[in-house]
Amino acid sequence: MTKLWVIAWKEVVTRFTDRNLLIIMLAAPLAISTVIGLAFGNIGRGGSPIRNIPVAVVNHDRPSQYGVAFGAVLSDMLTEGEIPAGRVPKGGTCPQPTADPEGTLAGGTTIGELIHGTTFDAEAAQLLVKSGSIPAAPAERAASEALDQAARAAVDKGVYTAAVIIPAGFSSSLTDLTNPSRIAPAAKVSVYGNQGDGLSAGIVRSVVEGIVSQMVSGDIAIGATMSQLAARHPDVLRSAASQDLGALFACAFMPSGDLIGLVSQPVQAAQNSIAGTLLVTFGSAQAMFFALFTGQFGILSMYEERKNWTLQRMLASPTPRWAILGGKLVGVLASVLFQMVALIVALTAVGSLLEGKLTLIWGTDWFALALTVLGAGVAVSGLGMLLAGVLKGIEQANVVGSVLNIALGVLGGGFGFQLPRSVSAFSIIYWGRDAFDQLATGHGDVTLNLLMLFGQGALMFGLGLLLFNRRFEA
Amino acid sequence: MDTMVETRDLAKIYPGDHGPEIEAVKGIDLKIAKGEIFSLLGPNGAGKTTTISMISGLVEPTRGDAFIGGHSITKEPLQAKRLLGVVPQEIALYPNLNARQNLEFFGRMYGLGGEDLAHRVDDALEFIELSDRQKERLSTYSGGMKRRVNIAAGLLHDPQVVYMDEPTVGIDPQSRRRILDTVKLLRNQRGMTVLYTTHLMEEAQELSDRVGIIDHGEIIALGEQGELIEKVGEEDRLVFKMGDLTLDQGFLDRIQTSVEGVTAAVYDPPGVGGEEATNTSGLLIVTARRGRKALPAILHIVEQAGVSIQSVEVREPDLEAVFLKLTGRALRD
Repeated sequence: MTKLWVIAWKEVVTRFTDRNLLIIMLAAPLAISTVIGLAFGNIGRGGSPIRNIPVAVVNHDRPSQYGVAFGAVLSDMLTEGEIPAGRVPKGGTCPQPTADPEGTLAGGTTIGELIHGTTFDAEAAQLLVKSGSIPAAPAERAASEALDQAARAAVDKGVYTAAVIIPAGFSSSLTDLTNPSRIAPAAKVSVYGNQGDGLSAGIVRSVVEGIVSQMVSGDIAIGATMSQLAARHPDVLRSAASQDLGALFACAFMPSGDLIGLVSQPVQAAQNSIAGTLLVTFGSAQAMFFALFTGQFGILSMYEERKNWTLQRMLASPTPRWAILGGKLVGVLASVLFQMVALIVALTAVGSLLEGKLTLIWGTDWFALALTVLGAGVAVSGLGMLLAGVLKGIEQANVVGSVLNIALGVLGGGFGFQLPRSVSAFSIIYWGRDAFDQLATGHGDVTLNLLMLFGQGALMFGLGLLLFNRRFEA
Repeated sequence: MDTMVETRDLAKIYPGDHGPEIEAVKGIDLKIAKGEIFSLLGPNGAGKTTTISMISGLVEPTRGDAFIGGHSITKEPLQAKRLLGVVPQEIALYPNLNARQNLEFFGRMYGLGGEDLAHRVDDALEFIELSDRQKERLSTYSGGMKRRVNIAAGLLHDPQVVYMDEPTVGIDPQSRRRILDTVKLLRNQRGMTVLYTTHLMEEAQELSDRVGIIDHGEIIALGEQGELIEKVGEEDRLVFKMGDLTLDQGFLDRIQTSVEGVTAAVYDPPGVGGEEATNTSGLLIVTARRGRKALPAILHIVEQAGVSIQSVEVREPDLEAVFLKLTGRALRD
């Protein structure tokens, strides 16, 4: 067993003392992610090159039976950059801010500056049809479906970078004052992005997710308060006018209130800033993309060792074959994990520099984060093992492995644009990146991602080991 | 005689890719005594590497077995391998690691550790005179220095048998001399058994107690140098340096059939330089019972053919003549 660790340690040392490999393993992904971070990290400081992203807002939502119109709030924020005064109670009703909790209320880019939203209704759609920008919808389509289709067509044609479609019943799914403690599954707001401008579309998606997430959490918080109120003072709740409640709900999202700050709060002050989101999204995809090379070429270096006779030298020593193979595999896995951890730490430093303070861009669920790193390591090492078992040598691996890695990178969103999930789910990079994204935003369940990473990794590892061992014995 | 290495009916048959099986080694029986320097000679493809690979435990024999210090390489591989040190022809070291790290790694592969390993590494570095450069990456070393580390890595665990595969390939004469002296020292001072392969006859002649010549998977000659030379009788070799000429088989046949006493005429065309270079490149080698007497007749044929000769040398019978006689080929073929 000692020899296994000796070989594993040698593997790590030789890998991390090879300057060329270090460039591939650490410098390249760090540089690419940092460039992206620097290019777009100023979003929060008013210096962003990305501004006024054209967005079509299709709002099918109607106020709930209590008069609360979350869809309108979201729509207003995307089109006006703020909630119009008419939607909130007359002055003095909303609580005044006690302080600037994050110290970031001044100076940042607001949603209004970042997103240029347009209400996309039947009239707007008709104008685009008349100008020949989009085709007319088939007559048999329902009006709402036709509108959605028109918005998507406008995005495809490049009129808008993204279309935000707020479904009917969005507000109703959030508020139920007859049973405030009930947490209804929220009707999903969909963001349809232009694939040619994935970064801007990604920002829109991030902003919308952030707002909806706060609406949901705010609704839960308010619902819980209502529930307590209903239990202790049922008369108060019964006598409250629904319009007042609706206004109070909106008040919770007012810029002057620090209950759920959205409008004037700079984007980077949200739990996960755009810069942080970009660093995590691209950084994790890049880390996994380059880890693929580490995993593959680490295991395939067995062929290199055979060519240089270091493998034969080990085999001629009193060392069992399983210890040689095991040591090599453990060493490669350790190298991949070390590479990913180093990148996570480095990107955290970059994110913190951009934010001007220590920012845990990867989230704070350390256990899940560690599991995700391990899962990603197992998955990329497993793929490396499979390729080592299937491919016939280092020359073949150089070509096939690189092409495969690039394909996985493209599918998994490693190059700045994201494909639909139905396609990207074929890439292990997607499962890793998505898990890191979810952990960074602090919400979402990564169980499926972990299952996919560990499951695929173990499967590929086992199959590759079987095939490789046959060749190794030969 | 204490036998240190023994093979019994050692054979290897490889399945043919698209045709019949290939019998690379056809049942070799061999005994090498303790403290003996044994050279195994053979042209490329003769089965030399396969034989050595089976003895080292790198290739599993199809039939038979090999024993090192009495331990079967197939049944007790770990015990047998403990007694064996391997010095491959390739620089089987990690270029990113320094000399000390390389030696420590391969020492650990032989179960060494702690202070014992540290002392052995110190001694080995001193032995190869690289103590002062032990912390430098191997990639910065010269070819000769790498060869010395390569040898030290095979000797670190103080093996009873060391297998050296062409350890002097591609190095300068000074380093080559140092390595040959090292081989003698290993036998004389440490009593090691050395299994040596080379294509350089002069090395084999200088070092070997006994020589085995392998061809087509069989040992075709085995014994001390004197015994083997006796086998070829009193034949001399006339070595004509031809330069960059191409000689056809008809020319060689004419020499062999029309000159009295000539038994063989072989032309070794110019070879490539560098590590592949041999000592017989561009040479016409004529074997004759009375070489000096046959020389004028050969020169006459050469003149008639319009072939120019750079130099002529008459050599007394030696190991190279034995090889030529037995295999019909120069060693580099």
